[in-house]
Amino acid sequence: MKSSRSGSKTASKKDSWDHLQWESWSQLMAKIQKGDQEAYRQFLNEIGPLLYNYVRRRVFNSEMVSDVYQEVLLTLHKARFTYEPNRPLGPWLFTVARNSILDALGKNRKFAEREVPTETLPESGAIEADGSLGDELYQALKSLSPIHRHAVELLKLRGLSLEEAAFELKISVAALKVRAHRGYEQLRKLLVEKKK
Amino acid sequence: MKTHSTIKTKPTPMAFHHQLVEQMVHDAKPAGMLLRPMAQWFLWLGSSLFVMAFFWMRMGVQSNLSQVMSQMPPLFFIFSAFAGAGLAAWEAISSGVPGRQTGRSYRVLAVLVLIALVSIPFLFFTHSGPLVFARDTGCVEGVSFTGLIPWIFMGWMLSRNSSFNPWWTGLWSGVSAFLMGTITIQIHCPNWEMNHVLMGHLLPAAVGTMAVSLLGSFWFSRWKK
Repeated sequence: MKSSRSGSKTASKKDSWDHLQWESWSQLMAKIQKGDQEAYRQFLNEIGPLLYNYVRRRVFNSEMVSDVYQEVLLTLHKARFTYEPNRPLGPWLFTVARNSILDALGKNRKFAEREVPTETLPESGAIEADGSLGDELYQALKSLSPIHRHAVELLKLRGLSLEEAAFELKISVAALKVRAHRGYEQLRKLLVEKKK
Repeated sequence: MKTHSTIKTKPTPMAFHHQLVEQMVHDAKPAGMLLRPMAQWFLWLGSSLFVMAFFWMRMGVQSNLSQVMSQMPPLFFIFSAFAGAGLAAWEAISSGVPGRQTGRSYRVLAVLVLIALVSIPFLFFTHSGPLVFARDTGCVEGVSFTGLIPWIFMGWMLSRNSSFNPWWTGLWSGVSAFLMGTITIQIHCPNWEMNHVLMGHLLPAAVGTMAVSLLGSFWFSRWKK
């Protein structure tokens, strides 16, 4: 009982925080429309991870994510004057994002990127089938849970910094460290078992 | 066990993001404020009524208008045309404002009103002989011209929005503008015979709509360039 109460309290706190966050972005948008460059920079930096992950969830070809993200930001830039400051920002923002993703991918090939060959790991541009990674390591990495695998891939294979990888996964650096640590542990166990 | 010889590196998302942000911020000028969709709709309605009134003053209205309008089918025809034009105009405007798109039920309602409009002549108007293209092209030209003027105004207004589906926006803007043309001519022309209404008043509106939807797909996508 107690835990469910505290759970709902946490949820309502999160909701109110989200609400405040959207309110603040909405106010920033109003300033942006008046040409406030600092507000624009702040808005884009804050909204960037959200949009990047929105794109990443919809574009399953990791090579295209950055291009599509760029397209989304540019469309947002061109359409910024159509936001009405007295209305919620979310529907406006995600309509712009969704439509520019569709435009970028081409409507005929809409979400065709969902088809990922089974031999290839999703979003693992660094893992090649040409044997550049050791077979055992490749197999072990493949058997990790997706969240741990992503953390390991970004940090160790793509060589991103902690901040960059956290930005891409839209999580805190601390949470990323935990994921990566657990990923290394699982990898170590798997490789030791295989050697035995 | 093979060793990993090369690791492909790409520009990191963060570096890429910051570069892009700086470009956009550099280009951030005060944006011309968008006229609220409802204000756009009223502006379109006002301008269309003005165009109608102008043409009625120039061309005159049918002499027995009050008598005709006292009957249900013509009254319902004009009412459906007005309702269809209004609904279509809102669809065109809202399709160009992100986050304001109408739902499916709204579009179904608009289509039903348009179906009712086309059905009324078949069901209630007198008819003589098969459907043929209007020999007297006066009404065809009238609908085209009186529809084109509200469409140009509406097109100018819509080109300031940001439509993600310009063809769709063009289509509904055409329906709204050319139905206004149909109403203008229908009030002027005393011929309520089914063939004439369909071929002389509604067909030009349909053809005009198709034409401007093609034009609209260029005009309303210019904001992306």
